[in-house]
Amino acid sequence: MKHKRQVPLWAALIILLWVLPGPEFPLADATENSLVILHSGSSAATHFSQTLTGALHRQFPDMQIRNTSQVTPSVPMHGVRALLLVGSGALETYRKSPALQQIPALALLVTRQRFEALWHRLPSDTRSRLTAIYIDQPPTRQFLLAVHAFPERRRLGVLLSRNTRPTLPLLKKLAVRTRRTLVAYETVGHDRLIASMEDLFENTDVYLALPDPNVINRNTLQPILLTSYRYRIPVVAFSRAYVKAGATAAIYTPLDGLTEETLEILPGLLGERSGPLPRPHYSSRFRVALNRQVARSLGIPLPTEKALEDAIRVWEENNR
Amino acid sequence: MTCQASAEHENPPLDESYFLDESVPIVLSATRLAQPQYESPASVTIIDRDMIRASGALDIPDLLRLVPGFQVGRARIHTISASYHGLADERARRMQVLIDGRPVYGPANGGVRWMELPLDISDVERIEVIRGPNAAAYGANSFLGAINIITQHPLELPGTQAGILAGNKGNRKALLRHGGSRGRLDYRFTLAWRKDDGFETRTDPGPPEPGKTNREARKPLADGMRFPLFDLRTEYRLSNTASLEFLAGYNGGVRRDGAFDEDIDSPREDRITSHFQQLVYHHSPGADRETRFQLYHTYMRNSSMTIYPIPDALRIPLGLAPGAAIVTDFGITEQRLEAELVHHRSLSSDLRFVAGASARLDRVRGRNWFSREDFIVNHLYRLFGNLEYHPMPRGVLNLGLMVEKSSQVGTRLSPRIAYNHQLTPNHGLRASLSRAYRLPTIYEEHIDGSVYLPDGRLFNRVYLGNENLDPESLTSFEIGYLGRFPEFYSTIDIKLFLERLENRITSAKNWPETGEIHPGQRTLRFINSPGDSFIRGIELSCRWRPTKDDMLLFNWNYSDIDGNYLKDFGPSPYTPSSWLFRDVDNQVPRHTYSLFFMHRLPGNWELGALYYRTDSMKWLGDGDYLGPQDRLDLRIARTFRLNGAELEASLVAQNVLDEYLEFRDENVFDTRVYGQLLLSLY
Repeated sequence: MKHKRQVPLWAALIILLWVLPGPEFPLADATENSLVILHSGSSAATHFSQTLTGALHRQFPDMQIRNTSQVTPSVPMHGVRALLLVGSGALETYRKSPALQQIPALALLVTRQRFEALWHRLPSDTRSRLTAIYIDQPPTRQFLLAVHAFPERRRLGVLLSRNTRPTLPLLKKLAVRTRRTLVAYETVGHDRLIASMEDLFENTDVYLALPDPNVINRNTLQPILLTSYRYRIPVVAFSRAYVKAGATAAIYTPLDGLTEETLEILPGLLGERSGPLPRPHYSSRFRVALNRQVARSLGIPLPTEKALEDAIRVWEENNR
Repeated sequence: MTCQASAEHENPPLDESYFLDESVPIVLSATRLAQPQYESPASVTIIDRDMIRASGALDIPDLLRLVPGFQVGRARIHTISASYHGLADERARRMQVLIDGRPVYGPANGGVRWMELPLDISDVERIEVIRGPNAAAYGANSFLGAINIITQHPLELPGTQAGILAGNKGNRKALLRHGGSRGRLDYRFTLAWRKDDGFETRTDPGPPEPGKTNREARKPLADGMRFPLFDLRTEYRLSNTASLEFLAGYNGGVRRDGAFDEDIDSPREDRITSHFQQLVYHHSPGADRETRFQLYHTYMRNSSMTIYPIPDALRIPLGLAPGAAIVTDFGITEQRLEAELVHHRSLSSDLRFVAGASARLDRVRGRNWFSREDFIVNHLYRLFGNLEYHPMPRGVLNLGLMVEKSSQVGTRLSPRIAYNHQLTPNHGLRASLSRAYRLPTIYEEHIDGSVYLPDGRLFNRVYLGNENLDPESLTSFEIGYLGRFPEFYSTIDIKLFLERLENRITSAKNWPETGEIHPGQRTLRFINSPGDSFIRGIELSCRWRPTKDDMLLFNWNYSDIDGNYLKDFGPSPYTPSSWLFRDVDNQVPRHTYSLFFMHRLPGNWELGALYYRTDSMKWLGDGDYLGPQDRLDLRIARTFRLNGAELEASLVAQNVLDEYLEFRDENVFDTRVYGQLLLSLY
């Protein structure tokens, strides 16, 4: 922060120390033993970064933590021991900055698809310094939620697009293992989306809404939920907000769990623990959200959230 | 089955906001969700779009044959009376009928002019029929029951539909529908045109009424209709938590009325103007609460007139000039304006409530009906609420209350208490007790069916209203069982009911009127009949539905009504002890059955069949005593998938069995056949 008036140096230092933890702080002033949280500027990333900053302060009181959404790519990173990349915008900044890629980094709030697209283009020495905890949950868990929440409904339907087509073999295998029928349709394009949904709903008992902006997004959510309700089909989604909107169930990554996992990985990232970094992975924690009003209206009795979480965990344990 | 994928459009990126953004609008809010059957305090039957299509019905009231205990009769092709547990004249006025939360029974005589509603059957998404009084939730007039018609939301019709229909008896229909979105605005509209030549009437004498030996031949009716119709439904998303809906519609054209060989009531064409405008504001800040405010206006006008040149044999003794004629204006104008506010809230997982208030203004004008030039105005204020409480996980207690204050009869309270208990997740019992009132209609209070000569002298007075009428009161008790058998895809709904009807409003003969050409002539006058009637019975509905398109539904109602009502003031009208009563016995048919079947075959073929039978029943008003009637409707259809479009071709035959009689014994319903082509473009 540049001062426009002449002030004594000691006053400037005091002022500097006062404003240290604030945002928009350039890395050029980074000192020894600091950690930088680079976030993408979205409201989700900003909130999570603030929560993370608070948790990190408590865990590492001697560490200096900078929380920012901007960095000039060419600046050298003195003394920054680890980098937390929060959000896909931050990952993008990382991708463009060779300087940042020298620092051990953990990517958070990024999807597996986005992360892997970057991962494969990095040289192996950079990869040894980078890991991630994905924000999305594995399709397995979403499928298992559908299986355990609606045991009487045997046909599980999905509408695939280019984004989600690669998951088809996995879903087919799961269907066999759980003795269900997978009904997979593909979208023919944006204009025919509701028509494709109706075709799918005629032939399925549960709609598994995989995270795919080509299919389900803020604009298509209303017609999809209204249509699925008309066909009396419960929707299993991937975020708590969609459950509030009218999906019957969802599996999501709780942010408090993500904070805990970050604190577990951090010693390794900071070099305080020997051994390689863990490979990029899905969060070990997950939570189930249920919309009891919609379930009641559909005449579907639902167990507790905890019972479903336990059932999914048990299945995963037994079927490694 | 997978289809070829084509290039996808630009879509929102797969970033953290996609998973974590909390500001997603609530779509399935409290008012959008139907109450599950096993928690409902009353017996409910739901008719969905697939059933509507498979039934082959052209008009909404015909769908009520899919509900146990309903009788549907047509006085003419364009005048349909649908009632629950009988007690219906040509404008059955003891039912509440709502379209998207807007009551559509008319203020004048309380009935629903089904064929004058600005709504086409293809607009209907779902019909919820509440079998039993439900005043606590639906207000005055939900006396014997309530019919809640929900139309398609604009997003449920993306694209265009065009249809054409042709059948016998001059039955023709053309239809165009379109739905779409522009930014935050979603809309759909329907344009239709219909025509029908009506019933063929018999003039030979019909069967004698009970207790009589012969019948006179009735005069053949003039019948037929042709009309255009338009309706619109739009929704504008104000924010993530609020939206504004605007609905409007129009129905016009002509309906043929009157009878041949009649003098005053001669054949004529009634010109219809019927329209409505409705504004609805929804606000749902959270999944646990929702507020709905609505404002609507409905207008119905029927213009019709006859001119009866007085024959010389009558004119000369009366001392009237040559060419004197009696001009009768049958026209009637009805208007309603209402504002209503409703709030839904879940206080906890065990406690939910609905509360609301409304203010309504009704006004009616009809020179011939009321013998006055001005509008007759009624006000109605309502305060209502329902509390749903789970005292234990398996039980639900529903407490409802409606307080109504009307300018006609003052304040009345309609309470309801119901308890549902789930014995197991699939089997439940229900008991409920409620009281409902039916306010007198403007017709019953003010009708003055006077016929005047050109020089102003009163010639005849056919009906006389009574401003001192009390509302009818219905106390109802029922116990019911609802069982689901998921392994057999079946449900069974049985109820036993006992209803007591008091203060029945009826028109009794021989009320003296002075000041007439023929002194000593009597008239019909509306009065609350002393005494009461009891209706008791059993109702059963069994449903097997393995898939959305395959269903077998069996409905049965057994009803027994006891009691009598005032029919004739007798020789001394001011001496109640000389009044003559009539038994109500046959005004509710003893048995009503229906069997409905629908099935989808491979190759996109659909079959539908509806068999309906009702025991003998005396229809009130102009209706007759009809013996047992049955009817079988059949439908076959095939859907063709074309490139980006779908064409449905269907053939329907209504009443393939012997001809039967509807409402009066002149209305012969023989077999009606029609074919329809419906093209849907996405």
